[in-house]
Amino acid sequence: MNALALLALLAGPAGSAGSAGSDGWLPNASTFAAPIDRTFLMSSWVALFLFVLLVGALVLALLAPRRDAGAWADGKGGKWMGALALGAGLTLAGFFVHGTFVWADTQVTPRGALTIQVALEDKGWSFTYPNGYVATDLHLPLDRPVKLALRGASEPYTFSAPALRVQVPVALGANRDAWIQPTLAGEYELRSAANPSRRAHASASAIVHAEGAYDTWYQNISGPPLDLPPIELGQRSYEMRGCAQCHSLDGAKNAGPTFAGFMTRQHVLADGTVVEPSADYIKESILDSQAKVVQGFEPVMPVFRGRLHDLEVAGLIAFIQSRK
Amino acid sequence: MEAVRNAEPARTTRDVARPADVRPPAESHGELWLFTLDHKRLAAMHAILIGLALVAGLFLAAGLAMQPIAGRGSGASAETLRRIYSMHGLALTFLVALPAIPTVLGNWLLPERCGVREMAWPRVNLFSFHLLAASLALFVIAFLAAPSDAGWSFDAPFSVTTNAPIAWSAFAAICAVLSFACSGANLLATIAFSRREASAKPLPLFAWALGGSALVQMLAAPVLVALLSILLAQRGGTSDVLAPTTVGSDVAFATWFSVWSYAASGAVALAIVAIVSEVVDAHAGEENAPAARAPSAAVIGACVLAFAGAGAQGIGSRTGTSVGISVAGSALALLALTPIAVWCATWVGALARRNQAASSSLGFAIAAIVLLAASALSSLFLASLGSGAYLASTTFAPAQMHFLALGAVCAFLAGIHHLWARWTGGVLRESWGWMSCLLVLGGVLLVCVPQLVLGYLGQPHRSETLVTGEARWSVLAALGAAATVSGLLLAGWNLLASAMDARSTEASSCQRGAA
Repeated sequence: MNALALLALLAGPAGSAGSAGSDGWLPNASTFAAPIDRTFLMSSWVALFLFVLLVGALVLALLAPRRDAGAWADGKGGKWMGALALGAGLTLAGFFVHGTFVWADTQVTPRGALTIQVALEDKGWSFTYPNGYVATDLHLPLDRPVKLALRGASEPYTFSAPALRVQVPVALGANRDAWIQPTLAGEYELRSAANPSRRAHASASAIVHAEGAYDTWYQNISGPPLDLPPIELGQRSYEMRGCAQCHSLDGAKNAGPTFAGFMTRQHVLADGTVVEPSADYIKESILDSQAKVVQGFEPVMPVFRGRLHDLEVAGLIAFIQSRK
Repeated sequence: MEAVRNAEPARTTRDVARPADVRPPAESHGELWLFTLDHKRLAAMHAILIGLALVAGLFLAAGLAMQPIAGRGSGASAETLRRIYSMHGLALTFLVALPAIPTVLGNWLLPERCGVREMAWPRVNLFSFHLLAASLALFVIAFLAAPSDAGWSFDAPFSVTTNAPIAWSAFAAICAVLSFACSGANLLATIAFSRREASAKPLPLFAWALGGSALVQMLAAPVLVALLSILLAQRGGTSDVLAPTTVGSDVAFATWFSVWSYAASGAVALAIVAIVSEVVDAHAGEENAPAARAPSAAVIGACVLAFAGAGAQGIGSRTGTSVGISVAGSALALLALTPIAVWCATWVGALARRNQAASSSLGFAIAAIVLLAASALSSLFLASLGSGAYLASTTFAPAQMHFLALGAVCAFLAGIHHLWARWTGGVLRESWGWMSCLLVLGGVLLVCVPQLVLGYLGQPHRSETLVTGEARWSVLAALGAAATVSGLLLAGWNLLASAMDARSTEASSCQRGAA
């Protein structure tokens, strides 16, 4: 069964592997898949041929009847050896040239690539997008080059996404760049092959969005345009980020305290302490929402640290302050 | 090492000039095997030591291979597994794969093949044995006290920060590597000094390859000794080179470690070549033995490539930061495969013209050829940058190394089977011998080929969990490990049983004689 699967892998042309993701073989999800698979298959065929040739020759030599006279040492052997060494050398040179070209392509990031900052921390992967949004899964656009700026951590790790044919070791505390261009939408496994390490199995998904879906996702995480005046920006954020679901503007009591008259009243916390309203208090409550919970409310607000641009936070503060 | 060599020169010259003087009277060794200077007895002592390490390492290997199919309920934590991985790798690398052939078979056969009666420096030989015994003792202490969990390659920065006492394993590795350097110097000196003896014979490929292997081991040894000393100094707080806060210290460590390990792989490959040539030539018959010129030139080429490749490959494989070095490393690593093609062709040619019946020692030699070729062919994937950059941190790389290491074990057994009758007077059961060598060969292929496929699928190496949905491959690996271990145990039993038979036959004939 497994031998058959191996043969199927060796026999199947690289191009057909893309549809075979479901049966356990790697999908062709990036532009590197085809050349790397081609190199792998070429090596597999050559290796298999030479291996079968050698084993066959050894078995034949073992089974052949014994001979008394030998003509091995008459000088012909040397010529054969020379020819063999030359043949092997040329084949290997072919491998060298081909492999180096395939590799060179993976090393040079195209101009204009979308840059995503990648970091591995104790709690897992984080992916920072150009707008400052930090995701826990890697979201990728289809058919566009993406530069991955891999940030060094306090332990060495490998950024490993087999479906995209990327395995990039990142040294201790050193930054390194890699790039990919996804070619097949879907959700793929992403691992940190850190070894041996407590984070050996930090895993996440690499999500390649279908045509156009990435832009929608990106607009969604981007929030309002950052060049708006602060109060207007804050109002748009209030609407887009889901604040409105819990914090009313008209004094109605929802899951969270109302923003009406926010700056003109004292806030009593769950532990009885009293907090004066201030920009710092608002900022803390947005970024680290569990730090101070107002009496009478459940601690249900999501933590927004790392998920909002600084300008957006400033906008929200200005907006809440403007509600008096 | 230099100090040892300088301390001995006067004695050495005399020993070689008058080899008969070296052997003390026979009655004095009876109780003093531990301090014997006789090269054959030292070979036997090494064989016992290496046999013990082999059995221990294999049971650890079997445990590792069974773990995935035993499932999560087996109770082995990730840390326990890391410790087993580490001790398995350390024991089999430093006490089996590297020393087995030079110390046992080299000691036994080299003087005879060079036409002298003793090794050049018997005391260095004994010292090398004591170092290896100390290394085994330290590994046993490490294993019983608190096994190292930083992998056989002492991966920094983990080896710096881990709570496990790395020092025992590091000292064990240092002792082992110094022992290789001593025995390597001794083998080289024996070959070199034999050239001025009247009884000198032209060197066979066996001596060329063994000398090449010894040279590579000797020159590589200081790298590892220095590296592990720095690691120990770092852990002891007297150095700051490998501090986890130093950017890139892990790469520097891994680079230098792979300089050593690449050279060591070259040494192992050459040692395999030595024994396989010896066994194949013995079966081909003297008049059919291949002219050694092309293969010997290949030995020299392989030595040069092992050195040049060691530097470049070491740096290129891990970091990928320097384009030039990555490309040069790839070219050298690929070029290093050429000599293996030459040797394989030489052996097939010699076998086709053999005039001796195929014995089980030839079976093990063929298993070693097949595994050496498998290792070389999987290097093709790793050395070509196109696939190598993707495969380097997956199980593909350890699978390639396991082909080589088990090729060395097969070559070692080929040599032992070849010499067994002369050594112990025992007559081996050929059918058992063939069965054991087929079990080992089949088992190793069953363990390693799935690792190659898993490597392509992106399975990171030394990871406790398999890539999603690939558990099926681990069943094959467990079957293969079981076959390999049972094949090796069968071979061991075959050897021991025949030696005991020979001894009891000898005893009964003595009794009959006395009666």
